[in-house]
Amino acid sequence: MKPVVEVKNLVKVYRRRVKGPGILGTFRALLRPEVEEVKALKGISFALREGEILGYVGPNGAGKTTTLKILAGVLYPTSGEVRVLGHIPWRREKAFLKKITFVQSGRGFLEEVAWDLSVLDGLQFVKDLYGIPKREFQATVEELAELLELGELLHVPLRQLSHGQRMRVELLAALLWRPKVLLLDEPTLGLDLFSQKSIREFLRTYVARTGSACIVTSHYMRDIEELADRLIVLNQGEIVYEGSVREAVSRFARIKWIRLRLERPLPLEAFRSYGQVRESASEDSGPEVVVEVPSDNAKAIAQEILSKFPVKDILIEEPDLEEALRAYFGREEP
Amino acid sequence: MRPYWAAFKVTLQNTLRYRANVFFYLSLVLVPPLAMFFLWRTVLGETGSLSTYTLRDMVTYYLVTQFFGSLLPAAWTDIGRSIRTGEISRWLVRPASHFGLFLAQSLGVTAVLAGVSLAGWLVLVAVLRGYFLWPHPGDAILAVAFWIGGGLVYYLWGYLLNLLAFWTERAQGVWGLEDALVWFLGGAIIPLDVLPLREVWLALPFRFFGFLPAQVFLGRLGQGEILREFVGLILWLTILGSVVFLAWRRGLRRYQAPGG
Repeated sequence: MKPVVEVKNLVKVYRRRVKGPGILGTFRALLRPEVEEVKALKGISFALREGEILGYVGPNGAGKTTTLKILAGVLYPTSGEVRVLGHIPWRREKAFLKKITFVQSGRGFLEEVAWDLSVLDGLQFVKDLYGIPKREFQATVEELAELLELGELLHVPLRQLSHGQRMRVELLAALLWRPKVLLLDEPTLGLDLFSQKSIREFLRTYVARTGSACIVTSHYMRDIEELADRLIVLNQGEIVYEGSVREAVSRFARIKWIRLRLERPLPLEAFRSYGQVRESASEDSGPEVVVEVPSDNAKAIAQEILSKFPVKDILIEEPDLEEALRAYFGREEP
Repeated sequence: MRPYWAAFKVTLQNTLRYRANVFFYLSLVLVPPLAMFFLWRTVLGETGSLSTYTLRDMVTYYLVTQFFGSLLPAAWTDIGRSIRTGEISRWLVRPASHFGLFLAQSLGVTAVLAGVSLAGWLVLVAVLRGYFLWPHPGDAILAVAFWIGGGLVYYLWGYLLNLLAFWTERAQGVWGLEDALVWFLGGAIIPLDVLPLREVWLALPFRFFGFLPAQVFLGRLGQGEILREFVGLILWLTILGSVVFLAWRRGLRRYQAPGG
């Protein structure tokens, strides 16, 4: 099957003005403007197939949003080849734009055009903008409104909706023309846990039903774990990992947790030489200790503990994706 | 045309939600021509004149320029701001021309204001009926045609200024200049043909914003002049249209899509 998105050696260099601090810096920048180049993408390549959800993660400034903007045709790349459904995105042909959707966090499109109008008025505008036939429009609104639990809200003015409801409405509006490629940049940012979950479930169902391809960036690794079939981890404009979520955890996790259920209580100090003791207690299942150890030595340490201490039960746990990436990238959010 | 008609309709609906604003706008329509009437009646008296303008010419001139000028479709500064903030990205992924969609939105606002303006204008004409010169119907139609062409020139000009945001981070100073141009070089303060250096002002495209439609309305142009002005209008539309097209294309290449 031919990929729907193909990216080869994609490079994007931003030029930005540099200004020193204070008024003096402002004047200096006026007289002698200095420009520095920032390499946001350093020759990345990847592909995406129909019906696939690709998780696209990395710390701030890694180049995630830049990639999505190039794929959506909003940004020109510096060099490299990109094809989305056979189109060169930055030519912004109408036939191309009617096949993709690009959802960014923050103020939505409907918010801008129909803030004082009802949700349905805003959707009608999108219908005319994309030339969606009336019958198809009605069927899509009905189907998506049900999936997104928006049926009751279609006649309510947009400004009277909560943030979570507005985000769901924006998602509905972004899928009205049944795009074949979904570019989702932080679709759950700022939402409560319930709304995050409902959007994740919706996206999963939508992609399964339509066979669309989807690239999703998120700082919430739960989104990625639950949604993505495949993962790309980006750092400083380069792909540092491409593969499954499961393998990514093994690759990036520098620690593992050894969970021990002991036959009798022991002082925590007894385990401190192996690593950080993160928790203990649990009255119903007996004394319990969790030791954080380097992932490479976890097996050897577990064997040593088993041979030295009265252990009833032992479990080696891996951190989730968020913990793994946080450990890999330092304190910064992945 | 469907996307543009939709943009027109949705803006019309949005604007009608703010009825109070629409009524405030009425005061803007009524006050300046009345102020100008009292000013020029004091300056000219009932029988005096300025160059070839009698008091009746001047009153009619102001009523026409104010009416036409108040209904020019503005290319809002929002466009320039959206380029700086990156919000324009939301429009770039739509299968329709950004220029066309924003023109349609601007016309949506203008359509609502036109109703108010017309009502206010008819009140003014009734109040100042002794000073108002009724046009020949053919001149009135031609004046409207020039005003529509002038409106497009005005929009292209405003749009072009907004596109400066692709090159410069702050362009507010330009907008101050833009206001001055509309009011002064468009002929809304004083007829351009009574100003010194009139040849300069009459060669600029801003005359189409108010002065020229008013001249046609007053029947002050001969057929040859009207034809020449029509050619001039087409020429300016072509020049500005081409510059906007090129600036848009080049600007997009520079666009860094900040935010997100």
